[in-house]
Amino acid sequence: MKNPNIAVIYFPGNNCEEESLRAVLASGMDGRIVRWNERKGIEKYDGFVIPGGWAYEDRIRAGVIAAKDPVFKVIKAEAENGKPVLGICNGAQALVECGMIPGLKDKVEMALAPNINPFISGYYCTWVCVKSNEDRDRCAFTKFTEKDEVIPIPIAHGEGRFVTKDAELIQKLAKNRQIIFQYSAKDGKIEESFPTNPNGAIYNIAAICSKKGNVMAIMPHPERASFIRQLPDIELKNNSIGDARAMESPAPAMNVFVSMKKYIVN
Amino acid sequence: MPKTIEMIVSLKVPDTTAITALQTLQRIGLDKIKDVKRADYYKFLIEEDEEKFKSQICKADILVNANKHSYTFSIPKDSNVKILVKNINDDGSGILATLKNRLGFKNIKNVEKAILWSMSIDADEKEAGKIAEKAARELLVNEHYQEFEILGD
Repeated sequence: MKNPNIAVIYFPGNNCEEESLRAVLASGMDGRIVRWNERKGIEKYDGFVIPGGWAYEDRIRAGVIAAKDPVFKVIKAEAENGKPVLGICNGAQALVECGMIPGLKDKVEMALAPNINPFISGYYCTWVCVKSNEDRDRCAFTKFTEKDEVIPIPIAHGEGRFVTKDAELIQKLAKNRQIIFQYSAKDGKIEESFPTNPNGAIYNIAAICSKKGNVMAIMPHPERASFIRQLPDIELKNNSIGDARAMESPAPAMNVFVSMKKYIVN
Repeated sequence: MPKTIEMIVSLKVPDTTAITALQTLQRIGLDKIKDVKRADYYKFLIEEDEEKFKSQICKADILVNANKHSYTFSIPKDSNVKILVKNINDDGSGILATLKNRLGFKNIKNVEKAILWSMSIDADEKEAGKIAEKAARELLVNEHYQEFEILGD
């Protein structure tokens, strides 16, 4: 069977498109970087990755200009047809700003607001842990991730704090099982305080999926944690030191992309 | 008696964010908006001589870099609608601490920071207000963490 073909949508100012494409290819899918203004014919792709960076220099607000770009009309329509869409960091911000996440109403229901961090104002880059909050089959991107599995993954953002003024929304998301990853300690314990919650996100939210489960906005970067060699000095990596092949083998976050493939193939 | 001072700081060079905002607003159908300008807005509550404070605050280079910024102490009347956008959780305490503790502005009691959008809209006052509100809700403001106020001319 032909491999799924993924469009990694590049907006001016993105800087994670190459790493995202590398993770897509390593997971066994085909793909290419598609510029925002090459939207004619993008319906032929089987899925979409909106990578991280600073689309349009984050002018006005992170992700909002990309969210208003005509290419998103096509991506939204394809998502409604069931195709998977993964927004990473700046891509997640765009998915929230265009209303695809959480997607319960046809409007913007949340924000990715400036981080709240007791020590650093603005951009913050570090390794964190996220815990899978739902069963494997809930979402197109967690088919190989067990519920409660803890994954090492980096964050790199200034505006990553999931927040909403709708007092009932978080309950609805929990009820709909749309909160896919939460920031956690290494042992999986959910602590609301820094540094476990690195940006003050409500309910420690690191990733949310759409109601159908085929669209996910994730603030941490799975494409930067997809190979053992990319991990920080934790046991998983230290066990592979001196073994080049082992260093190139997939790390837990690669499952986001492998799962995307499985979702499309099935 | 504390006094309130407003300071508006804008770029001398073309502001690419304002240009992008104009293009995006027109693309989403708000084509009666003919021009958009953007500035940083500060509101200080001070307990000292107003003129002395003004002469000093414009030299605090964390707010004004003379090489690239111009500033005024009143909202310019260069457009028919203005929108002030504030982050709800930003109480200005970060700037206040820097100004007081690092730059020696001991008599500042409070600082508010916002973005001031100025728009020229080809419409009468009532319609311009409605267009500005739509521009705010659809592009300039995410009401889940920001709030806005439309200022008349």
